[in-house]
Amino acid sequence: MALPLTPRRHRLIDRLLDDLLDLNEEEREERLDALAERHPRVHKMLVRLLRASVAPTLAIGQSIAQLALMEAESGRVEENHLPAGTRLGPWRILGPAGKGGMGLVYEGERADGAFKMRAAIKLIRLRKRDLEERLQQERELMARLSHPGIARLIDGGETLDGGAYLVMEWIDGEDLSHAWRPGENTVDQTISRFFGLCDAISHAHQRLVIHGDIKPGNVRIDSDGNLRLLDFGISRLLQDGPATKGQPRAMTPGFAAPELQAGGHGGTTADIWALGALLFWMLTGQNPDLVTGSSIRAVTNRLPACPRQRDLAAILIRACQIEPSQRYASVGELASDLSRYQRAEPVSARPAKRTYLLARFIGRHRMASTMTVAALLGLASLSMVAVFQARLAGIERDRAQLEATRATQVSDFLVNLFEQADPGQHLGERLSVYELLDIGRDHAKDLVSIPDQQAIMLITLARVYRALGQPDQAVELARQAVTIDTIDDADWRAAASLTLARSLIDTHQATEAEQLLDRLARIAKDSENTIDSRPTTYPHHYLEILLAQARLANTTGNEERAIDLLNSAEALFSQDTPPRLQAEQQTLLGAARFQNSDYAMAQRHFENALELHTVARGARHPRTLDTINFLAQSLAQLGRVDEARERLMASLAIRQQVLQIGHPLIAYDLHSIGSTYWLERDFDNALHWWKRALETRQQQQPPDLAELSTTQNGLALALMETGQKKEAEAMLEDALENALAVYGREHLRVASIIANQGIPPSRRGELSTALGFHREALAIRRKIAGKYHHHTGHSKASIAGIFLRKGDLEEAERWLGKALPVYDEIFPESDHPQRAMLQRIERDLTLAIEDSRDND
Amino acid sequence: MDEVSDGEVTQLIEELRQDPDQFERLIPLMYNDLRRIGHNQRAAAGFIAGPTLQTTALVNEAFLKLRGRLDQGCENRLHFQRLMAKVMRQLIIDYARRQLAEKRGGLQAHETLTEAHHAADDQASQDSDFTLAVEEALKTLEADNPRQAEILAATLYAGYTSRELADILDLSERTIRRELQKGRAWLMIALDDARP
Repeated sequence: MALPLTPRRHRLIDRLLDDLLDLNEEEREERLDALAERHPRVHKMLVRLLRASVAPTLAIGQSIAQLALMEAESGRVEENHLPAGTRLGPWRILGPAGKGGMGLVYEGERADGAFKMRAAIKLIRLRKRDLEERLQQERELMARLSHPGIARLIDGGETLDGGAYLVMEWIDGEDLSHAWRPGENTVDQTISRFFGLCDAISHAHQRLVIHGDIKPGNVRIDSDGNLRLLDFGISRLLQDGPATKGQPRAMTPGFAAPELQAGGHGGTTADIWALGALLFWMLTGQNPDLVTGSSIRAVTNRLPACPRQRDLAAILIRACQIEPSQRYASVGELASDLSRYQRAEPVSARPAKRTYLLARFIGRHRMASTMTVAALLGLASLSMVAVFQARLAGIERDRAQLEATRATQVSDFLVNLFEQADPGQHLGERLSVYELLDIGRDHAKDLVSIPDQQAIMLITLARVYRALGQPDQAVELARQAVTIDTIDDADWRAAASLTLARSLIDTHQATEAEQLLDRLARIAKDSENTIDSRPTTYPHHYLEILLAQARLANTTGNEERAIDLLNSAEALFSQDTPPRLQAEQQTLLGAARFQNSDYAMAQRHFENALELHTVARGARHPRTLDTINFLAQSLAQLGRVDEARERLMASLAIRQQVLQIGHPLIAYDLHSIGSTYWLERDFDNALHWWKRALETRQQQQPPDLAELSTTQNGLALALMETGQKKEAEAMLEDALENALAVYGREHLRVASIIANQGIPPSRRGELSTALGFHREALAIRRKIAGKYHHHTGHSKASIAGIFLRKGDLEEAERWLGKALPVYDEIFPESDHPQRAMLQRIERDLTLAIEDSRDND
Repeated sequence: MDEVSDGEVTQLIEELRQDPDQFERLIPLMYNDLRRIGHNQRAAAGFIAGPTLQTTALVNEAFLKLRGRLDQGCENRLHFQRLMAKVMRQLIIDYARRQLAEKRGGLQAHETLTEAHHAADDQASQDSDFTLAVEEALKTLEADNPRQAEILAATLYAGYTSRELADILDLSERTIRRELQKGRAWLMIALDDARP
């Protein structure tokens, strides 16, 4: 080092630098000035250091990283060069051409003079008995390919020492891993070059050939900048079937799709992942693993400066999804999205939120940038104002300007709000969101003098609260918002009312929700019938009302109505119906069927819903996870308990990662897992999981009484079965109290708890008391669910059982006669688990009747 | 906190080199880690840090297994992370030296390389030259301010984040960031001075 500094002086200057860095600019200048006079050399050094301490130092890391890569690669290669002239089958080595990821590469030529050809020959360490056969297969596969962007595998064979050699078409140029410097090309140029690769891979995929190891080292760039792929299909040759755990495979970790890294097999989607990874690397020079599982924002931050970074980030994220099914389905789709990006059109990788489409629209039409910011905040009500603005633009200019001002005000408000969150604070993030919202709510309440803005803010916050599972706050805010009537936009007011209605359903305020929804449905229908050709801000408004009504019908146990409503909803589906709403419709339909005990139908609808939700929202979205849970419940009811539990465990694992301890949805999964054990009559495990569910639910403040009651009810049953009768009865009391508080008396859940209350006295031999409970439960069940409902059948069978034990065989037979047709209707399979109790009673009754005849 | 001795580093590298199986198993894991370096540079330059990869942990585990056989029984994770940073640095430096040695007329094979590969080679030797210059500067820094030098080297060669380093060296994250800021500044002017 050329620094003429003694260690002491070095340390002194370092300390002075420390002090200076602590000061603000003004103080720093002052201190430096003082130093300049007395210690000019120290001063000079400090000035340099200060300048250097703010300079970017990217280059240091890059050089080292590059070497690190080469070292990593070099470690895998044995350093034994074959001399020029060595023969390998019909080929002759001309000389080394470099090192590849899996071995040395030589330049070679045809040695037998059959024809003149230059080739790249790869030597790989590989011992495989069926190599010849596999090479032959591979050659046949490769023969299908003919594309200027693909270097073909020509030949291959075994070396004398048991290794293998592969012969490939020679391509002039350099590997991207050496020749490509991110930043030397613009984003547009990079993408344009990248299209060549997409085209080549697409060509191969159409012919059912997968590359399997796309990475910079396998791409050559020629002097014209064209990209060409090497090593097609090589990775497949090297694969040993399923990889041995812990053994590195012949692939490059950074560019191998997660399923390959995990040791699995990859299809065309693994190539799509690698293409996404490669593009990311070409743009940034960074590890493509950074894309997988990252947010749009995180990826955006890594991209070089370019227009519409978030779109580009979304495309990369879509290509590099962990789940292969969530990636682009084909290379063509990826390429189309990239060209849409280049043309500044909406890309498919970003969810078609109105806010987003609007942003693209505005972007292309060069409107005020503040508007774009407002739209990009991604909040529905903001976009409403902005769409409204766009719609009126040119027609009512003054009005439009007013709206623009309004949007800006609202966006300022939101930006202020979110600025209060400390972005550096990773821990306690959830907490700060809630705190932030509470601040927002207080601010919104202060906006009395600007009622329009207040209404928009209130509804926005209501939606956020609802999404965060705090429906009480949502109701309160939405209620305030809809009473503000200064906004002269019927569509907006209707949408706001719908938010209120949904929140009301969430909080079990059924009557009010029903009235509100009926009114909204009438208005929506009326306006549909009037001649009104202006583009509506809420194209799916009526559909959403129907779905909300159906959900309400489901929660009030009116499944037939729900099914009718959902069928009407389905009739409204068109190409433009977002998958989100279709998913919702299928979920609700599944729920209705489920409640009607039609589990096979329910399962089918939930399968559909799961697929749609996964497309619309991704595999980890709460709604997707809910659907997994519903599906699991259906599977369990169909007797496929193992499958059900597997799904639930998977859902629980994700939720425990994503959610806070004590979150109601974790409790939900815990409860459902308990139920699967219950169905298998594994009472100890059921008890264990339901206890965990109860503990989790009790952590919630305020507790959700409906859910609490469900778990308490199950837990009571498990306590009974494990001999803890006293605890069971107390638990049932609690369950009933909570259920009554939520539902009132006439509800199926209440009936179930009352029926369960009959079990302990029945077991103690207090049969009349037990009968009382069962008759009460039956009355409710018959009234609400009708005759042919399995709950009704269950009550009848229970009553038959009690009469049997009382020795009143006549009554027992009569009740059994009432129960049987219900079971035959609902569970026609003779071995259905739900029939077990009935069959036991039937058998015991038959025996008892025979006994009594014998005694006669 | 136990210091990591040079002897340990040498021994581990020796061990790695002599056991190609272990080395092969380790390299793909390290590969990801090494790729991270560039990224963390960015993060250190003020970009938002990305998700941490689990690979560091994997490499540590692999090293631990290796160490287990050395029968010295050092089970301290933090110590190992420090050791690993030094091992990585040594591996890269060794590579840079080898690269330059080859360049200076080592392997005959290079005579027949295509022009394209000469260009790639040139880039590699530039990188090597540069890396060795960094190493030179780090060595001087190490003599005067070992802590700062270790923090800087661990960031550059092992890609550790400030948070990880705070953990490893039992210092506050703020201290780590400040030492990095100063260390980089010293490094920059040292490199500047060394430039012909």
